[in-house]
Amino acid sequence: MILFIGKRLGSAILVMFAISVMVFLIFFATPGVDPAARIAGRGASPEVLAQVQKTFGFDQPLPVRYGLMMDHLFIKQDLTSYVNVGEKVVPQIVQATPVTLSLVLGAAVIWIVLGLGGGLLATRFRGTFVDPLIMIVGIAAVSMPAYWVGEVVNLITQDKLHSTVFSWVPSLGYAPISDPVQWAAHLVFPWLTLALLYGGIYARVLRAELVTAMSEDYVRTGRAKGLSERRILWRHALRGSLSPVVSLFGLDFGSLVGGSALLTEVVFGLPGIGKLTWDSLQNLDLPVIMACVLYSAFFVVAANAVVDLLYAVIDPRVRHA
Amino acid sequence: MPEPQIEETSAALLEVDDLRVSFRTRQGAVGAVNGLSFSVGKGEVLGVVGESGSGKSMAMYSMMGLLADPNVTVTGSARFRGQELIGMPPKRLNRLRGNDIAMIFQDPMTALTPVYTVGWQIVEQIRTHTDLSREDAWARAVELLDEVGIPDPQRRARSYPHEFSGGMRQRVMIAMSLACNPALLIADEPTTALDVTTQRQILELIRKLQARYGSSVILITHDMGVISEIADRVIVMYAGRAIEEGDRSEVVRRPRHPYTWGLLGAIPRPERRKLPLATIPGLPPKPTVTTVGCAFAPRCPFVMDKCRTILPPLEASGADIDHLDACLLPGGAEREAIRKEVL
Amino acid sequence: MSQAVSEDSPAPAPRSIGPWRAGLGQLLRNPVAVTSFVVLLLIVVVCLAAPIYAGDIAHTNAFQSSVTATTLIDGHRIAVLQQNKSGLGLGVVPIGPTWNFGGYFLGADSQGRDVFARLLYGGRTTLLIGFVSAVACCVLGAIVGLIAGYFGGVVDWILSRLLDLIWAFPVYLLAISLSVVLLTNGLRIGPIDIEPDNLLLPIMIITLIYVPYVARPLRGQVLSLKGREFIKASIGLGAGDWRILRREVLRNILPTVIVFIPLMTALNMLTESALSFLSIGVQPPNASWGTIINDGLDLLYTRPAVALAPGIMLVITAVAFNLLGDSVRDALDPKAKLRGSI
Repeated sequence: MILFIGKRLGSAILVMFAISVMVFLIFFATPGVDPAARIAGRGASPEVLAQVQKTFGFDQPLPVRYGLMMDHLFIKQDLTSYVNVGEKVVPQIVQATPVTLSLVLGAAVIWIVLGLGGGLLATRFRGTFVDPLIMIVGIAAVSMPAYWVGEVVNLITQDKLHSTVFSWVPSLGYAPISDPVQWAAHLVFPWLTLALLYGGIYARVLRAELVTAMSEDYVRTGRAKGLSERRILWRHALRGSLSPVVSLFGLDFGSLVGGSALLTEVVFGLPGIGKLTWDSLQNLDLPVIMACVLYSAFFVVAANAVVDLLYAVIDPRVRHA
Repeated sequence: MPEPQIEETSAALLEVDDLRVSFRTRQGAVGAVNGLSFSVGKGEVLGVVGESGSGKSMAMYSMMGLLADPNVTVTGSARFRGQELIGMPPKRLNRLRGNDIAMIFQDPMTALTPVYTVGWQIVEQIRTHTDLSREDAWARAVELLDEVGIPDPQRRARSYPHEFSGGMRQRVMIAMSLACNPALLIADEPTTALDVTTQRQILELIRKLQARYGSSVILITHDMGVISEIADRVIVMYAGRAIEEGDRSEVVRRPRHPYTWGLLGAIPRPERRKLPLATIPGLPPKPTVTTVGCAFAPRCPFVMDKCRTILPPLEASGADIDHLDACLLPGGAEREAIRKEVL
Repeated sequence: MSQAVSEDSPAPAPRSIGPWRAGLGQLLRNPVAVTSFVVLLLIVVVCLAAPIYAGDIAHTNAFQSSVTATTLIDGHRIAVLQQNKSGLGLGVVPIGPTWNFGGYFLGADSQGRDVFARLLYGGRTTLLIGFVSAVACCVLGAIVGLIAGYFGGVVDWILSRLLDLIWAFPVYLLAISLSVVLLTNGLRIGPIDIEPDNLLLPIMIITLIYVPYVARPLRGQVLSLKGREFIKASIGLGAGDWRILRREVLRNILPTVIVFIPLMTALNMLTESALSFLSIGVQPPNASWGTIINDGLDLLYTRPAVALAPGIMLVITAVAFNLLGDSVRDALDPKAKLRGSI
């Protein structure tokens, strides 16, 4: 098991390195693009341009430039924005992190509960209306743009029904967790927007896995042992079916942090890393975009590694692979 | 046995009468088991033999309530110690299953839940049916693993199924099935998925434990060789019906049904190795096709016109009144003479 | 239990139908598949008719800002951008839906452009990008999967690591990185010169980020095919690599590739719209459903139709593609496990 942890963490670090090289190459070595001018921003003065040249070492070979960028990003953490002159990038990211984490973790809890509940229900009531219902929600979930659903939710809760049912919904934005009630009130619709869709997918995946599991030989063994159907479903079938759900969770958690969460933050005006990325996209503030991309990508890789370790705890077969 | 049959069955542990299993399919109802009757005495080893699709496993699963499919209809009667199993509510059935009647299955690779240690799974079995504490149950599990010949049972109890070989896994299954001293053990093709040397070891283990625990055993197999090693009595099934039944030595030495001749001819024997291996021509009938008359008629080398219209009853046709067969060929010594020509 | 019995019937099958014909037959009998297909066909036809609608029916230019445009409502000529009457009365508000196909059926956007005409043009763009990039993903994914899986060794190692890397990189972050660099200056490598507003750029970006979705499962499939008897037999008979690849391997993975196309189209359309919504996808003057939703963001509470209509179209189209994909999978390759459709 220790060997497995070591191997998994080692490969995560390798992936992080590869991703940082890839980002570096995209931003600094795309043919036909002058990175210094791009970083300095539109209409930058020659002095600023010269400063950018120096900070990022554009007169030096590529590996040195890579080292310099990593140094500014992760060790000195003194990368500055040239569009918003003098603004340090890393503190902005640090400030935005709790917002994104609040959004993603809260949504994840809701969607796991919905997914597990829906999957178990659909298996228990196979052949009734629950089944097609979950299938429809699952299909809709992969077909709906999260940002658009967010807009529709806003339209209803902030405008159409704001004077009646949803008068308790605060205006768009974020409240720190130090006031838990306000925090939750601000986040509840962003959470639900993300979680309803993902919950549908998870219910569908889990149902498919459970139905397969319930026709496995070990379920027959369980019945022959005299176990109750409930125990067979919960202790035997569910346990084996969780592995694919957990690995899917790793993937989705990643894609969420790096994607849907970004869109959701934009729509709900949550000042997280996604919103920060979006704002810098609007004025092409390259250092900020780069930093956001790298920090989020590293976070995603780390989260995936953690999920894989969790996977190994659930399914002993993985440890020996 | 010299006693009249009626008294023998009353002493039986399991009595099956006119068991029928049918599936509802798009082509209509399909009979997998078409009126099977037999009984198992205390401490007896009954071998049930037949090709795949002959309904032998279906019959056992239907008795045990393991055919949860809503498209399956089970009728007839199966009484275990006088309690009717068919239609028994799940709660009561669960008290019997694993406790009084245990089962082991064909493929030990998939029959154990992959995500729990084997010790955990045996403890689960014990604690479902007894009040033993976790520690006592664990000690008992280790004891059982030792008994079925798993080396270093203390440590192996903490291993997961995938860490065992096929034969070892089947030993674990046997240990688990014996955990509650069942009166009846149903073994569904327990050796089919194993290699030849392991097969022999597992069979010997079953026989040894059967002797020690005094359990009755129903051994389902398609392999006449397995039957001839271990069974006291044999039922040969074809197309959902018993077509021959009798003591092992009788059925193996003096089989009376042409299908059994074919089965026995399909076993390679050293003294006949110069001859090509015998096979039964053709295939078992599709269960969707309802046959009038003997189901084996299309493949039978001795088929007569009446075979296609009359369903032969299962009855004694020779000197031994306990040796039954369902065939319209002439009985007695005449049948013996026909057999000697082919086998 | 019926397997052993029914599997090998001695009589020759009465009429043998190829797997493709059988699959097609099953699709045609599947009401979900047929409905999805008809809906998609309808959407495609209507979107293709965008220039006809804009030119001959609504007489409008969907790409030109026209703040002084007017339209006829109940015989009155009305400006499409009107002075804001609520609040402080600052700025202008575009007119809402007229529900009249003669013009501004769904109202105007903040630049006075006909939203319905833009919706049709946007559909063309979104469908085009979604479909072309899906086909590109499948072709590229199949090629990479075939080569990596069939030849193995170093080639496989390099290709697999590359795929792993793209796979591990969160989709939108990779797309943002590529877009932000490519979409301001366009792409210039030697003789290749692609302008920033060229639709090829979003197509290329989306294709690149989703290639692993197709290539990885196909590689696995090729690997397992390679171990199967009939491929071994072909190798044993001395067939050349290309012949085996073409005649045996490709033929066997083709159903999976086909199944991927509608599913990837749905996924890629949604990605395109998200990128366009973030203003790093389709660039003006082109419109796509994503850019229109973006246009509608500021008008959400006053003129919700601008954001709602393209979103609804997007959902309907994506649902239809996903349902069609599911049905195609059931018909051709029921064992395929594809993420995104499940």
